[in-house]
Amino acid sequence: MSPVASAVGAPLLEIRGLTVDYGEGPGAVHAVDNVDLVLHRSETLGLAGESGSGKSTLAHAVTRLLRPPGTITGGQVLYHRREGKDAAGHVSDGPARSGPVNVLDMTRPELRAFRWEEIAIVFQSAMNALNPVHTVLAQIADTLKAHRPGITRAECRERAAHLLTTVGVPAARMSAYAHELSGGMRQRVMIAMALALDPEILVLDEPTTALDVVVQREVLAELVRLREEFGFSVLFITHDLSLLLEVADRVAIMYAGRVIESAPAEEVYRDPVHPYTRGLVASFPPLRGPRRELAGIGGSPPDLRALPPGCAFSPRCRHAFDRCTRDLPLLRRPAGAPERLVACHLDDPNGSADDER
Amino acid sequence: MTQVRFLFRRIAFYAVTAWAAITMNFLIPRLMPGSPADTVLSRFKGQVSQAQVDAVKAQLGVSDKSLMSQYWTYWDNLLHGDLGVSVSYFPGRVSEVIGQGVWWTVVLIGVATLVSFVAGTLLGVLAAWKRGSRLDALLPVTTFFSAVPYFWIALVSLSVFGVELGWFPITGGYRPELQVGWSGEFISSALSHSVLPALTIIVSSIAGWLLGMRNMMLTTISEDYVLVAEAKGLRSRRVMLGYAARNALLPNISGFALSLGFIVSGSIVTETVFSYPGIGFLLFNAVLNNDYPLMQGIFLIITLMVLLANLIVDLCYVLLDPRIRQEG
Ligand SMILES: Nc1ncnc2c1ncn2[C@@H]1O[C@H](COP(=O)(O)OP(=O)(O)OP(=O)(O)O)[C@@H](O)[C@H]1O
Ligand SMILES: [Mg+2]
Repeated sequence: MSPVASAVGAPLLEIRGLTVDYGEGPGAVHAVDNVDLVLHRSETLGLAGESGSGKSTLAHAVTRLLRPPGTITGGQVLYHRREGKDAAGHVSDGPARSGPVNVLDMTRPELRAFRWEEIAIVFQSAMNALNPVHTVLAQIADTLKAHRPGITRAECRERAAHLLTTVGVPAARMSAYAHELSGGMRQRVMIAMALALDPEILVLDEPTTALDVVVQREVLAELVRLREEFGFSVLFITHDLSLLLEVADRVAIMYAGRVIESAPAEEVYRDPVHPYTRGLVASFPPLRGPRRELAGIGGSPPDLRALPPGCAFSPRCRHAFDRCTRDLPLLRRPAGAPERLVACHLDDPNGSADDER
Repeated sequence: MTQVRFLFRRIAFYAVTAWAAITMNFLIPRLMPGSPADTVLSRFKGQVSQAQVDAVKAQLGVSDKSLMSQYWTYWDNLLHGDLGVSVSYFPGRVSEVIGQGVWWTVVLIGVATLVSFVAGTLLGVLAAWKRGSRLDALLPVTTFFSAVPYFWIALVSLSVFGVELGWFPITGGYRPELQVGWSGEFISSALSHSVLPALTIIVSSIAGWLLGMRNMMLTTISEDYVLVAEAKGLRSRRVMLGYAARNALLPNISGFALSLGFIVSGSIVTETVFSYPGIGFLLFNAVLNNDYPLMQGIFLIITLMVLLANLIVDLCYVLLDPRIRQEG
């Protein structure tokens, strides 16, 4: 989350061609469309985009938590297990299994073992994420018991106390119920719960949207510190790009269910390429440096049931030309920017649509 | 602590309600024109001496004293379990008549209502959790039986299983030649007499619990905490029971408290159709015979049982919902 911690490693989670529909047939909403995204070890990957661009859908699909009518209609989610960990996530003595596993192919027991052990999620509306009739301790303990059979009550208690203090909640609050906690506390409790099994990946779906600005800052600072302490990778989802530029190593921008640009956070801020990204960057005040004029993006998000042909952003794009309304731009690497991917026909040296990813 | 305070407030509330009900029970017959004694005496069509009139009045607790002193006597009698003398079972005492009938009702209708609630709720949980599966067939079937008038179900099952097939006895609570007691013979006779009335109650009421629970479950299933429970990798049964059903249960429990109030009044039809020797049957006969003391006694018992049932449900609610404890 800070430049110091960006010793980014090998791929940890590879999303390939992921496609998610809500419903079937002509009325289906294509909420996520052919998305490729890689989260590396120890990396904080930011995912930004307007409301309805499919960010939460993507997060739910990756953990297979989609509810009907949501269905994954294509793609792979490859998870690169840490050397020597078996399917249940326990460190085994046997030879390390080679190759990644496809989360979408997991059986139910495999999936149960995988969840929270490898990927933990803090949901968008943490206000309702705690079960109102169980104490905080009970909810942390049932996670521990599900994944560590044989753990004693005393150990659960000890672990819960440790986790809560780690996120800055007094350990005594473990016997509180959700309605006895403030919004900021609940969010911290959710983060503590997410860390219960020391996961490799933490998915944060707008973890601070429901909080006021001060508490938002505190929770964010806490997250940055925890990431340095625990060394997990983060998929940070938000519609607030300015936030991402502070905490993320790399940023991917989603529009109408597709990733349209991804680059290191610095580059996105300094030199956005896609007109939509440029619009986003221009729509918030700069954190440092000279003031500049703020501008919104005209128009409104497209109807995902009936996307325009070609680039989904073209109806709102000031730079659109005839090819934009004809060919779907695919992600490609612009010349001289090895870390960047853009899906835009502007400045595309090839006259025709190319397949280079 | 807040829980204890909440409980005290509920108990105080029920005590006041019980006092009001008992007082109404005292006042209403005394404010009505005529007295129970007149009713009894009218059956003898005037062929009674003054001495007999006084004797009847004394037994029925009617006097010419002031209302206030009658009220004290009423309480005094009540606390000694004395509810007066029944007209239709004259000179049997109301407390004895009710004492014989009440257990039949409490056991038969109480158990049937409880079984219906528990089974309906569990089926509702499953129907919501496995929606889209074959369990969905439960909905139209049970709804059909709840839409059919109860007396019709009772009469049809009586004529089919009792008269035509002869599987179950058609009248009474036990074989009349048996002694009431803990003998094996009596218990098995009582059980076989209770099957039909209990089943008809369950069949006609289970849909309400099932649908109510299923709908609440569908609401809680879409709550975030259920999604979190799944994301945590908990077993499906734990998510279903500990998260979704546990929260969906709370509104259903209030419904259960309400339905307990209808146990005794609801028993009238059941017990009349099956000639079951419970409180409903007694009440039916009391009304037919203008037996005011017995009616009064039964109303009092009904009121107290409803209050007690509600108090028990309140206690359960306190144990089940932490938020209640705070709001108090
Ligand atoms: N259950 C559903 N049924 C039908 N369409 C849905 C459903 N859930 C989401 N969608 C649609 O899928 C699209 C993506 O939704 P999603 O919640 O992933 O967006 P998001 O980027 O997370 O938005 P936000 O910033 O508001 O959280 C939206 O257009 C939404 O209308
Ligand atoms: Mg969202």
